[in-house]
Amino acid sequence: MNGANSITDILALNQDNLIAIALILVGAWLLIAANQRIFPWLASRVPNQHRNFFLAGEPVLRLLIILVSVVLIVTRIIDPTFENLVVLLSATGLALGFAFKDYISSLLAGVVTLYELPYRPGDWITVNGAYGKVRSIGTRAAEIVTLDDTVVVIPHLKLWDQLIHNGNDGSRNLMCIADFYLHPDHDAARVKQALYDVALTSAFLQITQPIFVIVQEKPWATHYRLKAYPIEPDQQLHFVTDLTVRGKAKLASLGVRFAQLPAFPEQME
Amino acid sequence: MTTWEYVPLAEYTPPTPSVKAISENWFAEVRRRFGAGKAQAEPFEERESLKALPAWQLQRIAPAPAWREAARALDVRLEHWLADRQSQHAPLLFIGTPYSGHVEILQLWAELHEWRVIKPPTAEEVFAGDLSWASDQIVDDQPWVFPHLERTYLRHTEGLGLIRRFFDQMYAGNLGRGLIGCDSWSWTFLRRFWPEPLSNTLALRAFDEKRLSYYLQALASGGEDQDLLFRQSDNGKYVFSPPEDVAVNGSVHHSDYIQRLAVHSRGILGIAWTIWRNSLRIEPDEEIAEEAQAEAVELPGKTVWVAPWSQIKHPVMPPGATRHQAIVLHALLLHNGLAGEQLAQVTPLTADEVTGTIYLLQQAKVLAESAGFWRVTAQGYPIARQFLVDNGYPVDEF
Repeated sequence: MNGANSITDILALNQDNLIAIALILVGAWLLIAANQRIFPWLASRVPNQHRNFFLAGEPVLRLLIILVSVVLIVTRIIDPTFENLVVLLSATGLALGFAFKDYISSLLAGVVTLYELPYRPGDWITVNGAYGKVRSIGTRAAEIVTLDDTVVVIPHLKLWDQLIHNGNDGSRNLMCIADFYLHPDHDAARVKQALYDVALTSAFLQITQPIFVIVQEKPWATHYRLKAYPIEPDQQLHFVTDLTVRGKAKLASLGVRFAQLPAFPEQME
Repeated sequence: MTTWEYVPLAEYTPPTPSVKAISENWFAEVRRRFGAGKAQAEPFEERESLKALPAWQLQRIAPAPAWREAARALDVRLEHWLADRQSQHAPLLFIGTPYSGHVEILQLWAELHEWRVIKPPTAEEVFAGDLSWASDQIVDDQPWVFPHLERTYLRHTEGLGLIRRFFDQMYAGNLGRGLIGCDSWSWTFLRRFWPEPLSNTLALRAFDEKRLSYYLQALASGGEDQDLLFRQSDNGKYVFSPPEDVAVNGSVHHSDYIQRLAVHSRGILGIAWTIWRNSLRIEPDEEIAEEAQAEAVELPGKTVWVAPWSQIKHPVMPPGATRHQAIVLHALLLHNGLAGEQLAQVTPLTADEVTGTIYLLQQAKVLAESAGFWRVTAQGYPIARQFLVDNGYPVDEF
């Protein structure tokens, strides 16, 4: 039979090729390392409005480097005919599929991530209850930094079966919510207007975006949700704090009482 | 050419930069951000033979803008509005950027027509929300001019009631006929919470290269033919149109200084005028003695040197505490200046943070105090505006 029957038959692993492959791998590693430093460095020096664009460029360029490296290596060790490629891919796929199923799954999900963009560097996402800003998107996993300054590593394979909540989806618009629980006995229209003004007069408010005041009656209080957008997503804690502090002061000046649940409900007595 | 033109707000457009200016600014910005260049262009390296103009010569060559002419031009523009009986209760809004002279123009226009100029409320009256401040000044349905709409609110939970009542009364026709002036930044904010924008809005047309060149040249001549030549000090190019004999000889020795000035100042006359005055230089031997000036000696054929654009020293935002600086600058621009204690009231910063930030910005010549109010300086305005844009802040539409 003239065709290649096994993986060993089609590989051309002589000394020259091994050296060339090693050089390609080292070159790719150097390029990726440089890429991981240059893009964040660039991002730190451009205006805020362009920062996410530069951060998002890093994983894309890394993927390109990896793809080019793989193509260079494959074409060096085999004659890239259709038959040879089928043999190579089926053999490696079978081996890797069993040994590194999750790892390979994460790698593939990483590629899908770059295409579908469920999250990008700079996005504020929630995955499995972890909320934070995407710091980097690696080959296998993404890193987010929570509001408590903790880094959480999220394997990309979560993309397959987990809900991913993206607060700003690549934009600078991140809705923030300040909650107020008030004693039901008050003038709701007046409170609604007051809370609207609280948001409107916040120095952190992005005034080009809308402000909403949502009112819901609960069994134990009237729940007000003041929804607005900060100028920068990174200001969300300052913004919500500002809304809460000034909102409480304004409501207190209106004589509105805040809801208070007894520490020991009567039913427990 | 008409120097003073008024356009509806929707037609206002600031001068646009040339491709050359864009690319040079871009490269300068890249050099600045990536540390390959100095943070600011080198200050003007004055040759020993060049010196800044003394105050009296500046006053003569570049006197303060003649807002009275602008007021007369406004009068022409408002002919129909004045004659229209239907507009008896429709207020006209005149929007102006900082240093565009809209307050001065309105005050002078009021003088022309002997309309009452309404004084703005104090901060205490704003917080009290009592409209008697206005109703006390408007008597017998006499028409009025109110140049300071931005002074009727403070960005504070207690600072919006007065302007709401003012608008309510005005639209109800209870305040009579009026002409209102408002700062462009304040108007951007007020439009956000006042959903019904006024249909009658006017703005002074931006000073593009042509208009600015015409105006500054006319300013220097003072209405007389003094035959002054303005040339760029590094290459001798003519800042305005070159003399006829030079032009006829073929090569066009025309500087792009005025174009850059128009773009940098966003067509705002007060800003362009301030930078223009700071750019003027003269040879010591050409300096006319003050005694001679007193005798109204002319300056025939004299050359006034103009520092090249790249060597003009503009203010630079100080490093560090970006968030504080942005908050302070935005608050000051939204109110067209604030007193120190009001600044602390309308920002979430502590008094110490406000003081420290003001100090930094003052040192950088981005802020200055005048009559108890902190304002962004004319020279600092372009950089402050760009700084806010870079940090995602909403800016005026001018």
